[in-house]
Amino acid sequence: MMDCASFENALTEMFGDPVDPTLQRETLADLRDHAATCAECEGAAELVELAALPPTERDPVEMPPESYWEGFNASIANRGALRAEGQSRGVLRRYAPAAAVVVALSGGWLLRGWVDPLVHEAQPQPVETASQPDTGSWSSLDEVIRQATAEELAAALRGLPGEWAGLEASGWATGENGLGGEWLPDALELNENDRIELMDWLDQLDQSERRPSS
Amino acid sequence: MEATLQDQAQTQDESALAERFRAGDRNAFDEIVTLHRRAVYTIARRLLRHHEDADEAAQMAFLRAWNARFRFRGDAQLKTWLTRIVLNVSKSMLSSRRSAEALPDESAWADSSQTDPDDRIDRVRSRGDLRRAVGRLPNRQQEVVMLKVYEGRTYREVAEILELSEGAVKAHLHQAVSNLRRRLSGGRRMEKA
Repeated sequence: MMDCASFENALTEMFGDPVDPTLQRETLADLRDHAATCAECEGAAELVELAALPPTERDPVEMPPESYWEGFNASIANRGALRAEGQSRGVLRRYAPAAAVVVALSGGWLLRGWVDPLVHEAQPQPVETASQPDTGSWSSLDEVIRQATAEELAAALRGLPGEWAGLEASGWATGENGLGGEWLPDALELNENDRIELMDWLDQLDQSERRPSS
Repeated sequence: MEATLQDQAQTQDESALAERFRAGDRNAFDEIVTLHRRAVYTIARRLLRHHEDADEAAQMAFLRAWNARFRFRGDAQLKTWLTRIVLNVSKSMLSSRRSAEALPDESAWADSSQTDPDDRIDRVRSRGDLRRAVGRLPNRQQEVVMLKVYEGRTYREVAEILELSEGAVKAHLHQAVSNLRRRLSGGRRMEKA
């Protein structure tokens, strides 16, 4: 005869991984007997009957009609596109100046070494200011980067650490988005990987800005 | 033997699909959505009870999966990973609701195979009691009951989804059964009194 503790153990076993069907039938009979005669367990009779059913019949979920599934994937794709667009625009609006400065600094610093000889030959004036970005002559630095070809800029970006290294693969660094006049890329023109990298980087920037200085 | 070969082929297919997905292949993502959308929706619907909420949770889960595809390590099955995501999304949605709103939609439980109205009412009522009792279990026990009892997942799968040991899953299930037995019997005694 089953006691309440063994009733619980056996019921747990019934809900566990599949067991031998003969053993399952015998256990079920014992469980029903106990639930029918024990005041402490009579309320669990419904649990016993639940255990007797295959999992798919224990709490069947009403599924939507086939027409719902036909539009399901497209609905996700649309939401994904809308969300990416919203996030990109929102984040870029907030961080465009910071990102532009970083690109300017990093790009200028990296470009300086190998742009110098070219500029010395053709345009000596901008090089002089570009080689001294710490003087605060942003317009000159800007000028150096504007004059760099897309390939040169791509090479410079490749030299950057971490997340920026992946940006050269995008339209941003190859000049397809009119880089000459635009410091910051339109995130919608970046490919998916680069956009995520850019967003992650901007998030990190956001966190570091919020972190109180020690 | 044939089943084993089929399993191996399936595993290889899934690995290739997962690899394409991680690389950002939208077609692979689309295939994954098609393969798993019913299972993902079912979990959300079971937890949230209403179609609109389950629809929202299922779509959110797939979007999160896409955005986090780099973090899919491939040491778990896609189904396990997606289940973990939709559970978390659904739990977040549940926690923002009042507990009363999380109560089940009992009309969906009416068993149409029962022709006697009294039997049907009793059945619906019993299942309602059970559902309410499950809803009052601690969170972890509820998750284990949902995945093990209602979804029929193996101990190993539940352990992977909830990131617990199999032993811990068994312990939670046993504790849930014990709590349910006491609550359901206590309720019955109060009714009689």
